[in-house]
Amino acid sequence: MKKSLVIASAIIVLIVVICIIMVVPLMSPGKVTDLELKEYNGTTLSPISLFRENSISGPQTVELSQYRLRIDGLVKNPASYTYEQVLTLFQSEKRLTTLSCVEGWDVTVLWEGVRVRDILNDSQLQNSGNTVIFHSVDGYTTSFPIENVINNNYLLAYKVNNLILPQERGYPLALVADGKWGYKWARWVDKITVTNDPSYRGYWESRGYAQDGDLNKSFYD
Amino acid sequence: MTIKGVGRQLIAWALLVITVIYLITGFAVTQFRIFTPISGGYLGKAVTQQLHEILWLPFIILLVLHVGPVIIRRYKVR
Repeated sequence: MKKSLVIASAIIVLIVVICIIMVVPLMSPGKVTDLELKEYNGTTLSPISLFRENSISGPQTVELSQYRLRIDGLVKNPASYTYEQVLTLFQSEKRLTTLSCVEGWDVTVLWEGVRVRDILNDSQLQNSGNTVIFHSVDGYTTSFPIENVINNNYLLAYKVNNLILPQERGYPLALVADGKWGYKWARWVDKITVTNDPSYRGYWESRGYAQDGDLNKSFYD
Repeated sequence: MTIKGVGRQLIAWALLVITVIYLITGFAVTQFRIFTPISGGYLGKAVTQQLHEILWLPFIILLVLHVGPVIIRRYKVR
């Protein structure tokens, strides 16, 4: 009786210790660097360190001298932009918005980027195009109906909380897809393809997550 | 062993199994890069997350069935 009580107590203590070890880092408020913006228009911003790393292959290292943002598919003028060109050719916009992850965490931060709509318009969309696919350097993809991208003013962000996008947040360019679950916010975007295939499914969409990824709907298919 | 005893054992074992699956599926959601290849690709993030979200109900039921009778018995003895 005493022996089993000792074993049971030991197991309980072990489980509690494991839980504490796993939960404590998640409860810490996160470090804010001096340069990071902490508040915007009266809204307290989440520190960048509160984002959790859940990319498919870990943070990607992108060499800026080699980097190009390519636009191809059903466009009249396929294009290839350097990082500098993206920042200078298109008008920038700031947007305070919340990224909600299917894992249960969220962050409200200030994004700064260029409108995807402007980039697509620069390449002149063909009438037959109805779907936009975002490709990342790690092979990640996600797609949206074209009207979704245009009407919701999605951004390709290059700054977060007034800092150049950190490597783990998708440097050099990350998609800000308002109203969508976090898995639709592609990071390290290096190609945008316009297609006429609305059935295309991206990385997580082909692994059981919803195609539309709307925040007000279930993220399961 | 009485039928009651067998029932108690079944509940205890079921609770242990559910608890282990609950822990593993939770781990599989956040550590999918490790877990998905280990499972041969069969237990991906979406599947394990769905399992994890379903399991709380049987977990609570089994926990109550496991602990409840012991607590009731204690109070009755007093």
